Amino acid sequence: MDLHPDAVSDVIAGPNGGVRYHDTGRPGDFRSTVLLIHGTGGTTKSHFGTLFPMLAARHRVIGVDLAVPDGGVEVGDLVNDVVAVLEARAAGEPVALVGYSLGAVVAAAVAADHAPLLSSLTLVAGWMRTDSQQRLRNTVWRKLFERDQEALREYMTFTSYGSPFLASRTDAEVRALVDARELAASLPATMDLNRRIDISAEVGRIVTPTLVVGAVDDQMAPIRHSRLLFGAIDDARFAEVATGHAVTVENPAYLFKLVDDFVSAPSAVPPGTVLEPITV
Amino acid sequence: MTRTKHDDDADGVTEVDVLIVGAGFGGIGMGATLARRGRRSFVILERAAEVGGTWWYNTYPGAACDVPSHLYSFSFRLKPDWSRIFATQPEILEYLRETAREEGLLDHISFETEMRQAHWNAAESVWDVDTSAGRYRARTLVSAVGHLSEPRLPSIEGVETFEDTKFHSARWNHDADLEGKQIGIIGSGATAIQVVPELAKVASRLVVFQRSAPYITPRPDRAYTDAEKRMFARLPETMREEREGFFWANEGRYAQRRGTPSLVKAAADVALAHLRRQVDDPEIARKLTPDYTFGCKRVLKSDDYYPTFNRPNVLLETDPIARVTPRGIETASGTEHDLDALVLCTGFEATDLPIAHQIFGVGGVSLSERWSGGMQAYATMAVPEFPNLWIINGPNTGLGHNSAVYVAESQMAYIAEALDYLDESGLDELEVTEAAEETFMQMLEDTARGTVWLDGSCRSWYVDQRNGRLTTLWPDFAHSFRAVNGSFDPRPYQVDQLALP
Ligand SMILES: Cc1cc2nc3c(=O)[nH]c(=O)nc-3n(C[C@H](O)[C@H](O)[C@H](O)COP(=O)(O)OP(=O)(O)OC[C@H]3O[C@@H](n4cnc5c(N)ncnc54)[C@H](O)[C@@H]3O)c2cc1C
Repeated sequence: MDLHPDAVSDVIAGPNGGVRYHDTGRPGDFRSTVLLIHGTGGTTKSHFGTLFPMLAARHRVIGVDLAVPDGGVEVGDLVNDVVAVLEARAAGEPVALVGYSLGAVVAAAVAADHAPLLSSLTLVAGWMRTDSQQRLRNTVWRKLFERDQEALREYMTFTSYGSPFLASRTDAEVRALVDARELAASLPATMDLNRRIDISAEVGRIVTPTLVVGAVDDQMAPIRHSRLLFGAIDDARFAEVATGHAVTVENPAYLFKLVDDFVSAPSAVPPGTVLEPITV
Repeated sequence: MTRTKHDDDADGVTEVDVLIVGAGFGGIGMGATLARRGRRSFVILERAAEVGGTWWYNTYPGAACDVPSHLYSFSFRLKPDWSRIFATQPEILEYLRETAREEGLLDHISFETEMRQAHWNAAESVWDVDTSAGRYRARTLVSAVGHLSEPRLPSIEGVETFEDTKFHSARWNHDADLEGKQIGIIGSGATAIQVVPELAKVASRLVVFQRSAPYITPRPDRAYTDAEKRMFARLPETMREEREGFFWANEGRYAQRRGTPSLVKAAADVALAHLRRQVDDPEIARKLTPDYTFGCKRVLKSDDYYPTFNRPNVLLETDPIARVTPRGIETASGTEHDLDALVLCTGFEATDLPIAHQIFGVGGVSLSERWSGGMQAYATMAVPEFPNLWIINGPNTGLGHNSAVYVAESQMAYIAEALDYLDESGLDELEVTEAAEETFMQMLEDTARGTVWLDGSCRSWYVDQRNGRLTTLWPDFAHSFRAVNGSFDPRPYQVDQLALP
C-alpha cells in the first residue's frame, strides 16, 4: 500500500468478516493516534490519499477500510468494524476519531456508545438523519446506476465537487475526474444504507469533545446537516470549509490544519464556538 | 529625503528607534507595519535608487513571479486589478512603489544608502550603524536584505576573459544589442527558464548550458478579464477567495514534498508528461529529464520553456563547460561554441549572506563568524549575542511551494509585537537565549527528517554544503510557519530580571 512509507496494511477479523486497516504505528512511536473513517464508495486511499500522509508527519495514523457485504449493511455493522480495529490496534489508548461523510455517521455512532475509546471526535461533511433532498439525489443515483453508468459517473462527479472547484478546472481536467471514478462493488448497498440514516438518538449521547466541519458548497450532505450536528452535540465546535462534499480532495491542507489543531488540544476552544476562518 | 522626524545630533549621528536595511517586499512591508501601528521613528536604508529589491534588480526579459499575484502581495494591500494570474516584473515593481508611496514610507527611506557596518553598543544598548550616507544610532535593527539578492557568479575557468558582452541576469544590460547575436546562457534554474524563451526570439543562435535539468510543471497563466477585476474591486471577498484558493492549493502540493512515494510520483508524472507533450525530439527530451527526486530542488513552472527547444536556432548543451575563452565556451569533450554574448543565470548567494559579514554583536563577533557552521536563528529571526536584531527572510524562511510574502508578513507581526513588548516592559534589550535557539533548531531538524530535500539525490541551495543542514528552507507548511513564528512570546529571551505576566 503506497499510502505512506510507514503504513502497514493488514486485515483483522471483525464481527461480520475481515476488516482492512492501514497503520503507521510502530514500537516506540508514542505520538497520539488519529483514526480515519472514509465515506461512501471510498477507501482510506481514495478519500484520504493526501490527508493521511499530512497527518502522519505528526501523529500515528490508522485508516479503516469499511467492509460492506453485498447483502446490505447497517450503521451498527460498520460501528462494530471500527471498534474491532480500535480494540486490536489501539487498546487502552484513547484515539482521535475522524469521520468523513458516511464515515462521520459511523464515527458519531461509535462515539455515542464507546466514549472511553476516544480522545476527540471530528465529523467532516456528515449528517444525522437523511432528508428528502438527499433521498431525491439517492433516487436519481439508483436510476442512473441501473440504466446508464457513464452518466452516473458524470452525475457523481457533478455532485461530489463544489461548483467553484469544477468551474476552475479545464474540460479535460473535469473529464479526467469523471474517468478516474470507480464504482465500488459496495456502492449499491451503501447507497441503500444512506437512504435510511437516522442516528439522532445516538448523537444526543455524545460526550466526547467534538469538532464539526461543514462544507459550504456541499450538495450531498449540505451544510445544514453539519450545523444541526453542531446544535445536537453538547461539547461541539464548528468550522466551515469553502469546498464541495469532496473536501478531502478539494482542500486537504485546510482540513489538515483544522484537524491537526483540534486533535492536538481538543478542549482548547470552548464548546459552542464557531471557529474563525483561517485567513492568509 | 527629509530627516526632520529623526534626531540629528551634533556629531551628525541620526538617532532613530528602528533602522531597517533593505526596501524590497521585506523592508517595505516592515515599514508599512510599523506605520500602521502608529510608529513614526524608523528609517529604511536602501542602497539602490528605488524600492523593489528583487523586483528592481531583476529586469530581465520574461521576469515574472511564479506564485499567483493575488497571493504574492501584502494581505493588507490586496490589488483587485492585477492584470494576470502571474504578473510580470514591471507590474510587481509598480505595486511596491505604490505601496511605499501610499503607506507614507517615502519620507522614511534613505535611497542610495548602503549599510556598511553595524556594531552593538552594549553600554547604551543601541546599534551603531555606519552607512555610505552618514551614521545612525538605533535601538532596533531589522535586516531585510533578502536571501536572493547577491548574484552568484560561476567559478568557471576563464570566465573573466570573455571579451564580448557578458552580464548576470539580475544586472541585465539593457544597452546590449542582442538582436541576431549568438548568445550563450549558463544555467537552467528559475531565471533561465524565463529568459530562454525570450532570448530565443531575438538570437540568431542560442546555446543553453545545462548542468542539471529542473522539473517543470504547467503554468496556468492568463489575463484577468475586466469583469473579474471589477468584481474583485466591488466584492473584495471574491478577491480574498481567489487568494485563499491559491494559498491552500499550494499547501496541498506541499504534501508532495514530504516523501510519500505515491504523491511524489504523481507530481513527478505531471512534470514528465508536460515535458513529453512539449518537446518533439526524444533525445532532447531525455536531456531535459531530471535525474533526482521530484521536489529536491525548486520545482519550476513554465509553458514556454520546453517548446523553445523545438526551435532550429536553439541548442541544449549538456556537456560540462571546460572553460570560457575570450570568444566563447569550450566544453569538456572539446566542442567550441563561438558566442557574441554570455548571460549568466547562475542564481544567488543564498547560504553565505554578505550582510552577515557587516553586523557585529556582543563582544564584536560578526554574524558570519557566529554562522561559520551554517546560518540559524531562533524563530528564524533572533540570534543570541545579537540583541534587538531581527532578520526578515533570513535562515529557514524559503518555502519552495508558497508565497515568500506570507512568510515575511508573519515575521513582521512578530517583530512589531516584540517592539511593543520592549516598550511596555521597560527593558532596554531583547536577546534570545542559546538554549531557545538550540531547541528551535532541533525542532526544525526533526521536522525536516524524511523530506526529499535531505535524501541526498540532488545538490540544491536549500542545503548548506558546509554542514549538510537545511538552512535556507522552512521544512513544513507555510501555515505552520505562521503558527510557530507569527506571534511574539518573551519567554525564550533573557528577560528573567522581570516578572513575566
Ligand atoms: C527572479 C525572482 C523571482 C522570484 N519570484 C518569486 C515568487 O514568485 N514568489 C515568491 O514567493 N518569491 C519569489 N522570489 C523570491 C523573492 O526574493 C522574495 O519573494 C522577495 O522578493 C524577497 O524580498 P526581500 O525584501 O526579503 O529581499 P529583496 O527583494 O532582495 O530586497 C533586499 C533589498 O535590500 C537591499 N540591500 C541589501 N544589502 C544592503 C545594504 N548593505 N545596505 C542597503 N541596502 C541593502 C537591496 O538593494 C534590496 O533592495 C523571486 C526571486 C527572484 C530573484
